[in-house]
Amino acid sequence: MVKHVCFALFLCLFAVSPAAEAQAANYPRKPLEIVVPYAAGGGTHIACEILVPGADKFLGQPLQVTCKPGAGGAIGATYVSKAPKDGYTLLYTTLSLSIAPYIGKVGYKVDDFIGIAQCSDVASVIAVRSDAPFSNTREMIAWIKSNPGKFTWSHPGVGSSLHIQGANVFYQAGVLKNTKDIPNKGTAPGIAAVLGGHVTAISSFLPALSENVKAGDLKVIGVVGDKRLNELPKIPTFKEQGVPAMVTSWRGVFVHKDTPPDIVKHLEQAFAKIIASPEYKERNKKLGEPLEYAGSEAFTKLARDQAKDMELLLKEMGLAVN
Amino acid sequence: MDFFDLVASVITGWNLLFLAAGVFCGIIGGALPGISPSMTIALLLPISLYMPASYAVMLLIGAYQGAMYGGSISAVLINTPGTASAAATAFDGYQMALNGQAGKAIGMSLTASCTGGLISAIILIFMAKWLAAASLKFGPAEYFGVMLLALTLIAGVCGDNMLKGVAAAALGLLAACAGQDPIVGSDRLTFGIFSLFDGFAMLSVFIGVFAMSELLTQLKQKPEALDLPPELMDYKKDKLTLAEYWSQRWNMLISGLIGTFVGILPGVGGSTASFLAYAEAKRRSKYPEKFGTGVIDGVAASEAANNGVCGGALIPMLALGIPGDVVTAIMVGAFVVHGIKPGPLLFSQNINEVYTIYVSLLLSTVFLLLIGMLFLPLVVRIVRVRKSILFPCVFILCIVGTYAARGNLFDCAAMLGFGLFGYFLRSNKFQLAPFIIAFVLGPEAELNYRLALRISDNNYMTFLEKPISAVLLLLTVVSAVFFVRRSMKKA
Repeated sequence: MVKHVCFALFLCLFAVSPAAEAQAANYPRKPLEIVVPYAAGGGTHIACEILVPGADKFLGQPLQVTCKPGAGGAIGATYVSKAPKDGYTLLYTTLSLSIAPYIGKVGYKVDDFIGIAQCSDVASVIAVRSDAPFSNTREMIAWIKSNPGKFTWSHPGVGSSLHIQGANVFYQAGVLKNTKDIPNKGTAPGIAAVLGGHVTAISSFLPALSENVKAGDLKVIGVVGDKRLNELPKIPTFKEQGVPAMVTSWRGVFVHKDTPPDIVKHLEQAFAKIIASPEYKERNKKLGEPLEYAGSEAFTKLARDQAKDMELLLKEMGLAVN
Repeated sequence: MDFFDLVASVITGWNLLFLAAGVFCGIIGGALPGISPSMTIALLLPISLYMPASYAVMLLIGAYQGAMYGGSISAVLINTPGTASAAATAFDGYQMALNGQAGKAIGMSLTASCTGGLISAIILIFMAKWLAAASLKFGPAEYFGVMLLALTLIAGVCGDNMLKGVAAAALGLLAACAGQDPIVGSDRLTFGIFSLFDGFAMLSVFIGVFAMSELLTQLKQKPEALDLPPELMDYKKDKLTLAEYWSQRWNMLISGLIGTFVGILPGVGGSTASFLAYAEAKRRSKYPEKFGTGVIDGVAASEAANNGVCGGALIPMLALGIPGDVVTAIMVGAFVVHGIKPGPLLFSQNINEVYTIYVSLLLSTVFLLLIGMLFLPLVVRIVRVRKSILFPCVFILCIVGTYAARGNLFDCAAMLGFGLFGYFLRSNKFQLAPFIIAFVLGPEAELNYRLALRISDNNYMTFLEKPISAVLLLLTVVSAVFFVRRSMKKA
């Protein structure tokens, strides 16, 4: 972030800097900018920051992280989609890349990007207060059906990946229309609202509420995705409980699709090595980020396929405007 | 180990060194516009990951406390709040600087920050568990009650002309409406500009309305006047006296309590706290008409409140694992990496770490005082710079600071636009305070109003059926009647 400020100073001095012609042969000749479309200090920023130490060994030049938050990740993604397609501007983002185009007006298309490397895959949970009158998915669905309009669930903002993941659970269970979502400003007010009994449930990533679960104040109803969480081996996934809620939130690196193919190749190889390095794995483990690697082709396909699934889900939720 | 051994084991040379370093970095980060307290913490976060846990706690808590004070330095000296929490400090702080009392204003801000920080630290240590449990009673309906009560306090900062004050507040609410609808996600007043999707950045509004409009106002002077060296004042006399500090004791206590209370509520930040305390100090004051012309009470209230937020925001974080504001949210991430897991089990499992946090919070106020005193004479020299040199620097700082906050050039354009708007308000004798306060509180009030109705199936009685919310609404009515009667008496 110091670089960020320096960059701002730099911008003031030179309105236009001569753009270097990208040639794969001597790429990279200057540090690479990796744009995080979320606020500095947030989960995605920190997850990106742990890629940086030692990255120059593999990339040939250092990585510089710039945070451009706003519009659920759309501002940073648009910035990268409009930047020179020379491989010097990368994007580090989440599932929101595939969501945002359907919710608001954005300046990019999902197809504008190709994946370089998937770094992680984070599954969310649905949790309720421990005195809730249901403890598993079947009981929860039955309760929702017999108490229409009474079930409220919190998420950290309209169009956030936790909003979509939570809504998908209720959609797959066939009860989305009987629930009311409560968009709080972030996860913290949402947990407080559930603990205080103002809201029935919360869609959240586990680390934010794991201490409350351990203390017995909250209980987890189910886990999204097809794997149980290491921290909660006894809690079954929604899929195991008959509700195929499979939308999880990935994080990873993208570039513009018109970037020269040999540069894409160089980046893919370098990031594969960074992610496979023991130092990165160690930092990743400390952060509690579930490592899930996919190469360029598979990751690109994941993002584009998910965009198609999103369209259907968001229309069903009454959110899609485009 | 008993209590005193635990505390003594925390106070080591290295721990204190890192605490001092944290306070120092915090002051610098806070004073630079665009580097918010949360960004200061985010900057220190990568470094803190390489340290032992206790150093990291010291560094981050020190920086939090320091940044909350640091914002007032630039607010007082150049009318550019370094952080959103210091915006309320600019109202009277900058006027004091214009009256040749910059040293006094910053001295007050420093001591009030320390006092507010100390009050909230004491409350945290003795009442954390109880207050955290009480805070859970606040749902959307109760939050709305708090915000509505706060909005009526705007009437207190309207100045002589209530109509102009209400008009400015309405414009503030209008500006706050821009952006994504908080419940259904549709665009509001974005005019197809997607940088407006999140609304106007708070800092671009503050810097524009305060600093940029001030620069525009100064342009009315003759060029020669700007080039004169500032009048020689007796800088030796420009110091806060003990008597002045003591005269603010009740003000600082109440403001510190307001700050702590606001800090406890998750999702409500330091700027709300300082505006609330400022408006409340003015309401209580025997000379409310002088607020905004450079009275020391305004500075004391705002600064005691925003440092009160520090201890307050740590209460739900330590007792429930729910961070009370953005800064503590980032801190949770750092603590978890160090094996400190804030939450209901912290007190039984990690009591040593709890004491480290207590001690760091208490001592950080002492270090803040010492380091602040050390640098005070240095920073006050800025007012001796002639305007022809100072103003271009401030202009650049406004642009760079606005850009640095989100890395978005649109924010700079918005800042310039709000500068023109602020100039228009000033030259037509509108008060800036109602506009700014409505801009900050409006979205909070709206979100919680709509969430409460959504939960209750549009049953408006929900606000009266819940006891806390009903009491808050009653207070709102009482306070509205108070202001109406006061303004009728004047007329």
